[in-house]
Amino acid sequence: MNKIAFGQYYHTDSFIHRLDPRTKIISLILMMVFIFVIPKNQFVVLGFSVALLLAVVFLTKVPLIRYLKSLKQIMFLLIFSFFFQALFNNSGDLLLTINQNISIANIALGVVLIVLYLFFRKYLPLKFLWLILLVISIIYIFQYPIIGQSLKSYQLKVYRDGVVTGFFIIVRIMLLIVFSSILTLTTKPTDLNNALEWLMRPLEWVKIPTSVLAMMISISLRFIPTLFLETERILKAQASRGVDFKEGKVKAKITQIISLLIPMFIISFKRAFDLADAMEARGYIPGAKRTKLALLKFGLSDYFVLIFALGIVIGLIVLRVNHAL
Amino acid sequence: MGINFRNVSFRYNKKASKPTLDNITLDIFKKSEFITILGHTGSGKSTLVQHMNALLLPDEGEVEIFGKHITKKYKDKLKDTRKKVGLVFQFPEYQLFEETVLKDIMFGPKNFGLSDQEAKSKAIEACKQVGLGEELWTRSPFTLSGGQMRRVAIAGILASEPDVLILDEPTVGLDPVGKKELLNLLEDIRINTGKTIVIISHDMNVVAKHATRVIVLNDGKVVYNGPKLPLFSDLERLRSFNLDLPDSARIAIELKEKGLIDFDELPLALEELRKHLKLNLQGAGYE
Amino acid sequence: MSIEFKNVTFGYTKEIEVLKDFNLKIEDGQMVSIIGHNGSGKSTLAKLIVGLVEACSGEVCIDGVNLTPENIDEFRLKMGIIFQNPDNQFVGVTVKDDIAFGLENHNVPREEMIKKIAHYAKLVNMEDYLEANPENLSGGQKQRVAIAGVLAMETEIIIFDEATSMLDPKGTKEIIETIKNLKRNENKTIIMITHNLEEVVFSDRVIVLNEGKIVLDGTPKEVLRKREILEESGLAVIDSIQLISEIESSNLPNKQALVEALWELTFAM
Repeated sequence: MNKIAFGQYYHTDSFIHRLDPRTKIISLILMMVFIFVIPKNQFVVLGFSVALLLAVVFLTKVPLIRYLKSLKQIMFLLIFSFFFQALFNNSGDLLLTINQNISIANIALGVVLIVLYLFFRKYLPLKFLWLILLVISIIYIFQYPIIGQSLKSYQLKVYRDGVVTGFFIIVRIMLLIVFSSILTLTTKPTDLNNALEWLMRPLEWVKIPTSVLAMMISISLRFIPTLFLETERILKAQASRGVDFKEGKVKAKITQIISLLIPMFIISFKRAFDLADAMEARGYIPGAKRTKLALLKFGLSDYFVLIFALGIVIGLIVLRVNHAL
Repeated sequence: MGINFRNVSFRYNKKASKPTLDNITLDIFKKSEFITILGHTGSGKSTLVQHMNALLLPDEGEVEIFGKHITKKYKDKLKDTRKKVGLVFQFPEYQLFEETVLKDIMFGPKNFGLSDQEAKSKAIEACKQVGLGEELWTRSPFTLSGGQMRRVAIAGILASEPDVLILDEPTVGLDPVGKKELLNLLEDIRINTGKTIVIISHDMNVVAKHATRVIVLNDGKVVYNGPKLPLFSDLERLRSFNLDLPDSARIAIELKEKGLIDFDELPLALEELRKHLKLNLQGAGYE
Repeated sequence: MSIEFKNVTFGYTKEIEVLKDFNLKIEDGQMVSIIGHNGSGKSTLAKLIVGLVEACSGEVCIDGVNLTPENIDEFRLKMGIIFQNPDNQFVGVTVKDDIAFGLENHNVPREEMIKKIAHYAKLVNMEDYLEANPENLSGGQKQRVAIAGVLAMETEIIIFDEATSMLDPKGTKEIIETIKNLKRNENKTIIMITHNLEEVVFSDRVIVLNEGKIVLDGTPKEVLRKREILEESGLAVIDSIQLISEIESSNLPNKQALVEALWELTFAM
């Protein structure tokens, strides 16, 4: 159950874990800026970013597989972006020309391959590699009509710019994802909340109640595991009354879902009322000044990291502005 | 026919070294028993009863439920089992959701395949069993008192006519009157329909008054399975199970120590204690 | 701090009046148990004292001052209440954070907070659990954290609103022990609301409510002997009291000794 409350948080004792959460959030934002300011074609700067990323990942002492898990989610998007750029971006030197002759036969074969892929997807390890193989195979077979006449002929042209742009896009996105994961893997949700509250404080000048928002987030974090347990209990209670999601007509299924939702709503509402009473009785006044147990303090390491992050961003911007890159 | 555990072990966390249920062998028969399951918090009581209607499958061993052999690999339908073994969770009023009391009670029977007509008549029967008057049938269950809502929830399980009725701490959160009424209700059901009632309870007075058999769990193992008198008569063993005496038994022992009464068999409930004090029940006009 | 209800009338809805022209005075430093069936109005009294609800007519006075929406925030600093549901009053992500919640609201400086949290967690035997999350705690443990949170605020009034009704016997015992220690060691005004007669034996004063009216008011011994009124009020008479009542009206030769022994037992619980 704790998995849900801690999100992705993975506990080890590392330099990065020990940094102030505000440092990590600010550094992440600075890294995001950095990644987007990298000019196209600057492989050296891109390489530097990747090296920096790997260094930080190493410093977190979190197993690599955790980072790979977060990348797995967006693999499809990345592959799509790459192929889209590679095949349809027509500037720069021409690298490759592929003749495509589409016929009924090779469309049929293409469809068969797609269906096979979708069907066997669950059993395949490293799904995205198979997806790449699928796309390449389809492009390959579309070269030849195989049987009968070609219905339509055109040429796929791969230009240098397309490949480079595609490459930069996917590396940028991967850098972003992994840097974000560094934040969530090394910072407890409550620390993140405290950091956000501090960072959002200027918003109080425009009458946004940041302390109240932070309290709301804190309470949500507190109750996520409890809600999880209660959902399980209601599921079991209704299962004891014959609820079975595998069978039943649509109408029955709707009633079954309602039999889970309504109790959860009621429990949550009762909780909200009880909690409000308890908080009020203990002197909580939303928006009022209150002291805090949690203390965020910047240390030497924090200043070092912040200056470093700020430094490389400013450096890159200056270089770009001066057309050095 | 009944529920039979054979060398059942179970772990919530499959990597844990200590199992929640440790090699349990146990029999529960459909023959009008009132079984109480006792044990400290975390001893495995809730886990045990969730195996009785196959909400959980054993990691090792087998649970035979009315002829069905449930093991780790069981893949068949379980609806029939859920119907035969009715399980009522703690604070069952939280499972209510329908617009009217009757509709909510009909939910179970309808899921188990009864038509609207049949389900309705079963629901009405169940209402009568638990003492819910006709004026309540068309009301929203959420307008009832806590005690009434609990009875609606129990009726919801009774309406499917299970052979065994299992309740996890049925009286927690009720006031004394509500508690007494509920227990008498369960006793009535047992006597009138011959169903076996199994309850998880922490209240020794309930055990003293109603139980025909007691099962004690300790750290996932069955450490006692038998009648209540031998359990309460052996004080040292009782304490080793982290259990206490029923109030009347405690009084009896204290009074005996002071030389004020004598007995061979430990009185467990108030009625027995009265007899030993030779109190004239008729004269005093009490129940 | 004394609490007084002067002719208080209150209902959650216009039709049903839970309390009508209700009068009660609780002196400073007393421990009072208020018992009654569900719906008798006992929890309502608690809510009126801490100002979660307002009387429709009449006055609720703390130290002679009538509570109003204007002064309730100030008075709340002097009152603490522990509710029935262990989960629904646990605000913090950890035990430490939850005990801190009330202190933060009272603007206690951080260094002092840390000391108080350690001190009061130890008082309720939860000092080893400061970093624990509530979902890993038992009901009794969560209630002890709630008590620590209230004690840490060092209020003059502490109310236990059916604090044990959702707990198992072990949890209940823990809480009752904690309350007994509190009574012994502190001079606070303690109000215990319950429907279990066993829990009232160590109070200074017991008040029995039935349908919003006080039907009994006296020492535990005085109140517990009124078996009939207790039963009428929907309370379950404990075995020892039942026996005392039956023996007193019987012809048993050794009834004096029996009754004495039974009273001793009752108060030793």
